[in-house]
Amino acid sequence: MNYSIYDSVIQNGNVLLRGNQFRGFTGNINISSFAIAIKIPLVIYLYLKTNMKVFKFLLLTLIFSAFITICLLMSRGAFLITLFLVCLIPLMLTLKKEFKFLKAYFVIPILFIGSFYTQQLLVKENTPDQMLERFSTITDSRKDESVNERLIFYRSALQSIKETPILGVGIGNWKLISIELGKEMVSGYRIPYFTHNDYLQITAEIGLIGGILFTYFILFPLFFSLRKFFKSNDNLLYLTLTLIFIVYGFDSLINFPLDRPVNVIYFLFTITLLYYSTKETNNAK
Amino acid sequence: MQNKIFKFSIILFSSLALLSSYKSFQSSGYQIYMMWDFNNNKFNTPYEIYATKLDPDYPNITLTALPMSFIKARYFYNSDSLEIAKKLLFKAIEENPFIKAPEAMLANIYYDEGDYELALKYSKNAFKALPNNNYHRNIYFKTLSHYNDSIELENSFKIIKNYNNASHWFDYIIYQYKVLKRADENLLEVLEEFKTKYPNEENIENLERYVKFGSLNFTISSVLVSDAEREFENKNYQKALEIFMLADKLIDNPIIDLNIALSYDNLEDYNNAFAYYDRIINNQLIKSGKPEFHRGLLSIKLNNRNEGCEYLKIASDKNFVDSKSGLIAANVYYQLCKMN
Repeated sequence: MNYSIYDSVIQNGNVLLRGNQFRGFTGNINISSFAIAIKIPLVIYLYLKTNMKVFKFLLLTLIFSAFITICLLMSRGAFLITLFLVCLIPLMLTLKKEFKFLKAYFVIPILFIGSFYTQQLLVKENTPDQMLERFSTITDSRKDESVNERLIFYRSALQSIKETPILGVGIGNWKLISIELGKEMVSGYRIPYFTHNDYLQITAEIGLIGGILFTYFILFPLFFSLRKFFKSNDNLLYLTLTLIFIVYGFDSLINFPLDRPVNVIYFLFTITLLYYSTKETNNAK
Repeated sequence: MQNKIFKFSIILFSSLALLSSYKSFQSSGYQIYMMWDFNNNKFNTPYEIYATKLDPDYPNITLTALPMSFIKARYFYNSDSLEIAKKLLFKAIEENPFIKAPEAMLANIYYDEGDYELALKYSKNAFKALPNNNYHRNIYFKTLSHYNDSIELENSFKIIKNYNNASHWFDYIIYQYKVLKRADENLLEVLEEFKTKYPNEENIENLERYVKFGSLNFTISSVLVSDAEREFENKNYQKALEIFMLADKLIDNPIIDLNIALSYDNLEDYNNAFAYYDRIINNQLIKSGKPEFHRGLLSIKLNNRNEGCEYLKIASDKNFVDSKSGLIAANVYYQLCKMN
């Protein structure tokens, strides 16, 4: 992705605009950004664990590349969650007094800041303010169509939940019901297929009980691994798992990763890893 | 025993899931072609696929929530198999009662058949449910104009005028004009508002002429201009000039004036050519830079280099590019006025 952006902007002098030509193997650039963001904790884990210098260097390169891609794709959600991860890790390591890891970690925030400036450097000739512009309208739904759309979707979903709280509208039926609920924003036959919030969509489709169970399915591993982080000896592994669940949980809050195999499969693998690592820890005891 | 029931249940549900996935997969393959046709308003999918191979019952809606029967009905409607199309569309309404595409198509069919009451019923239903849709708006406005219902046209337009879609304005002005048979004060106000809201809309000037000079004059002049352009292409400049003059009498259009100037220019009637060029330039009737470009070339041709260069500079500043010859005003200005 970085190369295709470099080729387009630097080699061919095109203006860097957010577009699906840089989406990689996924459906759009938001999915790509989150697919990258969710993998960052694992790469940081490997970087902190390994003792091989060459491997460390390669992993740092990979982390830097991931940060740059997220900055260049300008997905606000992915950027914010990555920033959150970068800030949260040292805090958690300090809480657990993991000073050895903390010392090795100091280079990661520098890479993050460096990637942000690299992005600015890459686009300075054409769209230098695009990133700032995108963040400046994030809380102003009147100016930001994407934020406005999401607010309408959320309102529609809440209305639907209010109307059919127990049974919901039926699984898979959101894209039919949403036409009526969001008719003022339907243009042509382009309808709101997703609520852009998996918790609300699932609740609207299968009712409050189903919605609570779904939320539990996402949040339980998060809190479980967090608890394990504070209680077990293998802090770093559980911290990594917690971070992955945080990214997925946040992604579910503003997008629809449940519909995207690239995110769901990774989430399921992480749950599996949590299950096996817990089993291993119990066996070791 | 319990274990066997469990195994049997697993195999049964897995098989059903597999069958469901296979059917969805198969349908997706056909949907690629049919949705491409739908989005591009084409009918390239072979009969064999949409009539026999495609199972419209499972899944019964497309990935974009359009009923399968509706997608299928499009092809039958296109091939004039109206009864089959209607049957499919009624089924499509049951499959997805919210999207209203089948209702709009039914309205079109009934309109074509002359059953305006049913056309009104279905088009109104489609428009009221999803107004920001060109297809829904068009058939509803068309039907309203058949009933000469200018009040409902106006009220319906109020619902859609704030959507960012210039087609809504075009359709409203055209159909309201058809009903009123003249441009009243309200319609002219709407036209002005349209011009303010969409200053870069391409055909807005033609729409204005259509409304101001009448549909008959507009249509006749369009035909005349087209004939004159053909004569001009064939270098029959005298004939072209005569036809352009006829069109000019019907409507006031600076493009026709420019063509008259070009015809005079080619007929070497320079006084008249200058008169027409200057009228267009002085009144700033065409902003592309084309009149200045040709005026400048003519002046240079007649050895008035300074004046010619002034006009070419204006055309160059306006970034004029002659679409027919490919000449770029800036290059011509540089070669004729800056070199030497």
